[in-house]
Amino acid sequence: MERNLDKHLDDTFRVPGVAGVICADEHGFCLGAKGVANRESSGHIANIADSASKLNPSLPNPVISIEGEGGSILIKKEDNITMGIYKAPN
Amino acid sequence: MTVPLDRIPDSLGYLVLADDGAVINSGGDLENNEDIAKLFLQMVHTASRIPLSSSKKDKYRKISVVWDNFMYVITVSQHKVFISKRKYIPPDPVTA
Repeated sequence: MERNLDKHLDDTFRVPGVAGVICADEHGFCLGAKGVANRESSGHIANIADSASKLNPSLPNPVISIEGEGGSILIKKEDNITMGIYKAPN
Repeated sequence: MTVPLDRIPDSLGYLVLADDGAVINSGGDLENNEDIAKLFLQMVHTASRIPLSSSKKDKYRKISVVWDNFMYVITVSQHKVFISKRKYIPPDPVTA
């Protein structure tokens, strides 16, 4: 199972423009991180995805984008897993 | 000073919060929605703890929460949280 996840993270990390990837479980525990992604952010990423899904509980989970000058993160929760993709600035 | 947030194109609602979460101004779908205001404030606090790059000085400018046909756009300025609910019109994919 870990090998599958690792391969998935590797494939995502190789996409041009992606600077890092992180994956967290429903408790915020880091399941994997690559590139610029900081393992210590996994709890915050799971937490923000959880808060965002509560904004409209009747709709499917939204995509959250946090943008700054030095890059941006796209976050989406799917079932119990939250995935974060770090993008370098254009 | 009033901010004309209702004049934003495709705006469905807006909310302006003080740094303690109190609603300063609101309109449209988000009018006086204090429950949702608490969630937004929580997200703003959490987002400030996530480093976006290796530089620790780098702070976020904007948070977008996107569903299929609408989105919330959140930003912080002068100790106030500005939230706008807008229609989401995805750009057409570019075909080579």
